[in-house]
Amino acid sequence: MQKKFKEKYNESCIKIFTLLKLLYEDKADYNNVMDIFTEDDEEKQHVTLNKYLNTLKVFGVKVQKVNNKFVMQNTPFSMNFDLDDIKSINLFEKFQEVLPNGKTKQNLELLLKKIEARFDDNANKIYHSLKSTNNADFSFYYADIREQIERCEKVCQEAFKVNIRYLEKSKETNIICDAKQVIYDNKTAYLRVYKINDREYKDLLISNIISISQLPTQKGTLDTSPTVVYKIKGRLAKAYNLKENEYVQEILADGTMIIVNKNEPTDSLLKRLIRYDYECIIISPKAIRIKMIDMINAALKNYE
Amino acid sequence: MKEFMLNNKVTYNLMSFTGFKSMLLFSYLLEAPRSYEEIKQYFAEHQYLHETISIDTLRVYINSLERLGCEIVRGRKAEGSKYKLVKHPFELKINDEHAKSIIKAFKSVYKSIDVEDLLAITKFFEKISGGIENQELKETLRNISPLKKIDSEILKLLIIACRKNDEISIMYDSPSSGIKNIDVLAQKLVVANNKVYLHGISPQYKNTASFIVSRIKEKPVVKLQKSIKADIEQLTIGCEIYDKNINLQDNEKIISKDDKKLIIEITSDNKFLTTQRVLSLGSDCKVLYPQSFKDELCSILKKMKEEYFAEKI
Repeated sequence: MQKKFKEKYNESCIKIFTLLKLLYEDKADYNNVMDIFTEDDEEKQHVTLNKYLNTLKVFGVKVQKVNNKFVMQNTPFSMNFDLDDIKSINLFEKFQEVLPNGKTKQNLELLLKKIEARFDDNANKIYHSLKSTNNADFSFYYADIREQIERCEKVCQEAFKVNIRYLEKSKETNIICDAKQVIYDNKTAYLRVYKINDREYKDLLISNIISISQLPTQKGTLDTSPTVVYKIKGRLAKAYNLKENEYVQEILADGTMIIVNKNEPTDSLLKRLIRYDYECIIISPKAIRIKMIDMINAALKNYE
Repeated sequence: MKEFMLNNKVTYNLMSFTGFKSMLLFSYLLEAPRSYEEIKQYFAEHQYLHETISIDTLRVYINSLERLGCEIVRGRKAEGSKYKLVKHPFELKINDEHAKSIIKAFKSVYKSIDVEDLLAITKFFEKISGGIENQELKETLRNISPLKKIDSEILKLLIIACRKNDEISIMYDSPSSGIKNIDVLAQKLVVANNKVYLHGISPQYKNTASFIVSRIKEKPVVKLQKSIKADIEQLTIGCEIYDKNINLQDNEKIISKDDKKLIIEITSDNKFLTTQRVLSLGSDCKVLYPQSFKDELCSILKKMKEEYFAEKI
């Protein structure tokens, strides 16, 4: 329910803070700003706008008009960011610059702008001095697959299923799937898809994708993937860090842990769990347990 | 006030005094909860204003700020009936999409940055996570760093020890043999498997040893004289790779290739991590040399198979 405001309020207060809100949100286009003053006489609207810009100036806020938009050069209400924070912001900014165009790049850029809008003078000084000396280099990230990533980001946003032709173990393979999201790994990227027939997620190395064609059918709305239960024992159980998509179902008397994993692409999960050697055993579902046994047998066959 | 504005070339009738006063009140409340008396005094003593404010005018300002999205509560009389700004529209608010993007970006970069930078990011995430409204994403951002459960004082000392290549003594809670004292020639801190490891040379271990930093129980003690020799034998493992589209790591190089396979060499000073890497490649990888590594790998695979058959589900 909307809160009832007490009747008496101050129009100037509303106007100055509405202007500030637009500036903070980087939405202070000339027309948006003038909307604040629509109740004033049309002839006086510009005078009123100047009056409010002067008020901000007296308060110490520097506002510039750039391409028909008002932009704040400093903020009246800042957050406390120290050297470590600015170093982190700088690092993410460098990374954002090399990201191929898409949702992740756009959202990260907007978030960083939002944070920078809350810098005080000191933070601004540190930011500019670090910017000129920052040697974090991500330029080699995704350099060879930029166009493919942009294409994948686009299909993830679209509402239709896709047919993807890609290389799996050097062989061309086709799958009909829903493109879910681009996963940026250390220096490379994957397209996470939901395989409709197998009801499981799969991460495709983007450099292995040959073509993507859109199908006329809409993407599904509900993904159901198998929940995998496995146990870990010995020193692994003592040192294991749970992943985001996992929880501990039970801890046995000898320290063995029963872990439940949801939504991790099956191939990636198997590759991860086989690394833990005999300290990790898949309990269910049976089909994935059998896949793991097959993987072990196939690896052993190499040495027969 | 007039004098200030004259100096700054802003004339008296060309600014909104009420707007200015409401900004003053807002920033004063932003600092701390204030009583009416304190606000009145602040206005009266303000270097440019020098005017008082009535309780009715203050209420109008408070109403206006609430209309703009502020939440202002008045404290108990016993505590001075102070006005407290609980929420306001200029706080850093991070929506779900923005939170997911920075989480995604972090996952892409954290393995290839210095542990020092990772420490800075861990603190930064703690600070900005307050702006995330979605509870689940807030927790994810707060806990995503592998440094989250590590004592930052111990970590800082290890960073210095690695930088200076010091010989240190650590109290380590080994997952296999419990708490013990270990001497290590500190080499580097490495992030892998969502954990931070101290890599170093220790007389108690054959190759370069790796210690999970979260299991180091006390601050490391730097030894004044070094007794551990720094020369360590590198492990070179030759493998046949049957997936020609494999994503090679930095320590792997192609020796030769034909239509069906690649021959690669893995160079490492850490047998444990190399074994994990080879296992993860499954049947796409066949170890060619050295024979000792090949034998060890075979016995691990056989034991894995036995474990599955020993336990019927």
